[in-house]
Amino acid sequence: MAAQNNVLSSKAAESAAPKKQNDTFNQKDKPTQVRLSNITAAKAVADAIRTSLGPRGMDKMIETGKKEVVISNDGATILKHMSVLHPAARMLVDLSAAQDVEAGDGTTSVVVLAGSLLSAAEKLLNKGIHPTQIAEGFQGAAIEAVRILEDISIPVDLEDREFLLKSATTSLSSKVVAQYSSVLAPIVVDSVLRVVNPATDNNVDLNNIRIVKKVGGTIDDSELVSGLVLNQNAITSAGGPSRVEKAKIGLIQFQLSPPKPDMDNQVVVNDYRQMDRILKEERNYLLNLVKKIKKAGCNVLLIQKSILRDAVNSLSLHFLAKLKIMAIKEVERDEIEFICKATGCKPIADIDSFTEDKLGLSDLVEETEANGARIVKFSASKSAGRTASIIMRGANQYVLDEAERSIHDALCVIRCLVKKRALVVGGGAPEIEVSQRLFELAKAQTGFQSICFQAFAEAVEVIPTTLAENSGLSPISIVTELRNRHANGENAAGINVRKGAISDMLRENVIQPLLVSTSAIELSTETVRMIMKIDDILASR
Amino acid sequence: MSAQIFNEGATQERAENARLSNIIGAIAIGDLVKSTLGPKGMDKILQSTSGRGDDGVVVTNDGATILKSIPLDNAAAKVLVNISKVQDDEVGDGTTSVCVLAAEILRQAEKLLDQRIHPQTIIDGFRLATASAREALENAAVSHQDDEKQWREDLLSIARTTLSSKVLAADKHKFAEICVDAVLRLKGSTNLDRIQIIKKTGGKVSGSYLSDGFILAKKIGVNQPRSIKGARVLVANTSMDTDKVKVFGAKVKVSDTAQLAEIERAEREKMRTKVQKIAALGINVFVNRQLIYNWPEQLFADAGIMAIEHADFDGVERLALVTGGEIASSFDTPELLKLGACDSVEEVIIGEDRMVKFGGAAAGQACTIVLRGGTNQMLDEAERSIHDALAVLSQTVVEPRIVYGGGCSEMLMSRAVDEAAKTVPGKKSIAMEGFALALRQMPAILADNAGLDSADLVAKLRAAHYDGKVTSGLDLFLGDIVDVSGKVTESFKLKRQVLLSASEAAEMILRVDDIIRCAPRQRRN
Repeated sequence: MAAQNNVLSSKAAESAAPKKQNDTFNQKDKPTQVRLSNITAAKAVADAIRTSLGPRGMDKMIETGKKEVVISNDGATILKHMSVLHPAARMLVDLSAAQDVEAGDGTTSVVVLAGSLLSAAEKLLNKGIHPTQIAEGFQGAAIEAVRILEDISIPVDLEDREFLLKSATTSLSSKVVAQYSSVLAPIVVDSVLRVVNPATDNNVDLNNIRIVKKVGGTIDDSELVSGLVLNQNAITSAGGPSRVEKAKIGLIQFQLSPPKPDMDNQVVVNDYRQMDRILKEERNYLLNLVKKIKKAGCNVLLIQKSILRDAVNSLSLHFLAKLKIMAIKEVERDEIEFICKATGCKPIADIDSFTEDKLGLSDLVEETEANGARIVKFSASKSAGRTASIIMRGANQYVLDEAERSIHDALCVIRCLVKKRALVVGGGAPEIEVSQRLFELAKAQTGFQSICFQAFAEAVEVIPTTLAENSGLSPISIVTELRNRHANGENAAGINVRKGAISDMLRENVIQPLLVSTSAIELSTETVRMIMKIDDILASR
Repeated sequence: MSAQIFNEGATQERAENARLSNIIGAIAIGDLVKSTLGPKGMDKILQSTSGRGDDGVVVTNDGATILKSIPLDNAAAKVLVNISKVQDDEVGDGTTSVCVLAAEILRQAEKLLDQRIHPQTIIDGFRLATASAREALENAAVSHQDDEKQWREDLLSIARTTLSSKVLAADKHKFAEICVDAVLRLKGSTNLDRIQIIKKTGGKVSGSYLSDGFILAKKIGVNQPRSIKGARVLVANTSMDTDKVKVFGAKVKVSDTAQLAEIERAEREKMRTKVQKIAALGINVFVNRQLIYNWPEQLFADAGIMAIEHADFDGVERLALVTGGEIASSFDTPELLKLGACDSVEEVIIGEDRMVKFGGAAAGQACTIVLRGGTNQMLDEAERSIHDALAVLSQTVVEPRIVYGGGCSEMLMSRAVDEAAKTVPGKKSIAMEGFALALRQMPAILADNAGLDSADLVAKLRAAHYDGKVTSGLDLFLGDIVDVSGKVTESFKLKRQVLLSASEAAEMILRVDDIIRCAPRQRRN
């Protein structure tokens, strides 16, 4: 790829320089070369992640520029870390990121599909069809494909937890954490159902679901907490409590340490008696603050991190411990909003406005220890908003990171269902169905449109083919059998990867949101159209 | 060269050589961009040689963007880049056409030079040709501004024509509506600052929409109202952490901690008074350019005021413009402050992000186009396309005359020039015929880009025009000659500007007979 790049950039430089007149004729085949080079580069990217598709897909290990190691099965993550040079290849990386934003899952499929569409386009170009005609033909085919998908989709009811569990399981089944899907799927579904109101919402703000990662234990130990979980620990150095029942939570944005104005200052000490006085005043100052806090009825205190000043000092901790107030420091500013929502408290920026109505409530605040990691759990109270926290456990950092990405994908799958309440089956079944019906449609058309439809239909079959390849099955016999079954009206026949055979996907509970499939087709077609329209690569300043 | 006249390293090209090198340079530029012309034109990737990362790659169809980015070493080529820039500033679109036309005119000029016709004679001929082409164009231009329905239809058609050659071609009907609605809100102003374009990756291009009001990509402070009706907005650029004493090295000396605590208290009080002053203005939305710290944020929340911190500079200025307020930085003289107003301020979710929308602003002209798309390149290119369309439309609102596209106007002008040439005696008429030929190259290029038989189509088109069907043009989707009136519409101003700029540039390049290159300045080590 590097060699190609060199060729291109020197060519591009040439075209900028004044050239001889007869060069005009030689230039005619240049656009073709550029187009082919773009297609080759983009296909290379698609091929690179092709093997990670599906439940039997393999993972990739990537060493980043900073010598960090990432192990992942998630297409978007792999591509993000690959340093891709070729501009057309980079468009595929962007494509995967876009699918991540829109649907959150299917980031590998979208790139594989784009690669396959480009191969198809290449064949059409060799037949002498004009690139813009190919672009238009594919656009038309994509619109039809989406219509077909909508046609075969099954409407879903958010009340039906079983259905949601099945789709979360399908998404998780291709990840490292596949064997834990019985644990993780309910966590995912319940957390989303907690934060949305199924009747009214048509989007989920995933910021309302907080994932706390802790190394230690196994993924089995992961759990969903309906209230709030904090990574920070309770400060027990001065003997403060680590378990408070009927907690009243105060969130302060000032500090319990000696005063420090923003102006530069200097305390001038003239003699030793004054030193005593200073110490005493400091003590009084802190005692005063802590007393006011106690007076408002607060018994759990969260303190926002400040870069200018210590959040607490040993003296104030001592006072807090005496008054049986649990203290947690180093709360980040961007966590404030979530904490407020989860506990119903309001941030307090000044001691004078520390009043009872700003406090949040919780039945039990407890610091727990499991498998060597300590976390603070706040059980949910009635006043709390719609939030959820997921505690992720895992044996090491890599597993944990990958598990988090998998959970994120699964959350997105459920979010897709909230956005667009329809499902299609998985296992390559919808793709075969789309392909078959497009072939039918192609027959009703004339001219280049018909050929483009056929090429598109064939390209879509890449998903079942790859699924079969990755599971060690014979792609040809599987795909042809699938075609046969679909032609006989078995709409839901797909590849059962575990059994290595073809079966009814609906009965196997392999289902995925409609939005993932439609957006994969739409986005990949959009990118392919854009690549088709390019006829030159120029070096710019 | 017998005597050394120039500094060492300086070079000189003379007469024929100079002219040839100029013409070749210009034609090279024309050839470079001509494949982007028309609804079936192609895009280019611009790969930055220096920068890496996301901004390293640009995919574009916009002539001005392409020419702006490539490094050139030819004086005439730079002239063409310049006229494309001017075209971009003046009309906003037609940046490719102007370059291509200039290059085609020069290609004809080269042939004329080969026939030993003096450059000045060619220039005279070109001038006569330009004049008659312009006259023909003006005669053909029509305005429908009086008829509201037809007028809107014209604008939509212009927008569609502009967009059809860009990345948004597939959704051109939708975007044409968006652009026309946005421009009509401006009520004749050409200040496109009031139309904000927000780009959000994700979703698909057809998910883009026009939102009335102004959208600020910021968050509302904790515990503050999420939606306000009948908002009174103060836009400010003031420090809301602490008001520092600005004297360098200012320092306080105290003798005990209590005094320190007092100073701290005093600082807080100062901020409280500042917030009170702001609240006393009777506002309910406060947008600040700088950070709003925890303490003032809480005070604002207590006062029920929506406070938005850290709005970007551009955002603050536009917000002030659309709400009709002024950016304030001191609050001691409330009578001098000008508050903005709008009907509603609320939080909206676009893509993944929460943003703040100011609806029904006082100025009434503001609106936001939210663009969605798969990749960053897609979004950037979509933004450029939208910008071109908006620019053309806003110019058309000022100069409402329209002409027809699809090669129709070019053929019209070419015919007028050809006929005028018959009445001109002398060699000038040969130059005029050359000019007419150059104009006819435009539809030929359109057809070539679409993969059609250009020689055949252009001949047919010419026959149709001589046959009196003056609204005939190319339909590149059908690959045939059709009546383009009402289908492919372009702004008269755009076409006129293309004609005039291109012929002026060609004339300028033809006049040159000597290129002197100065030696590059020596760098000392």
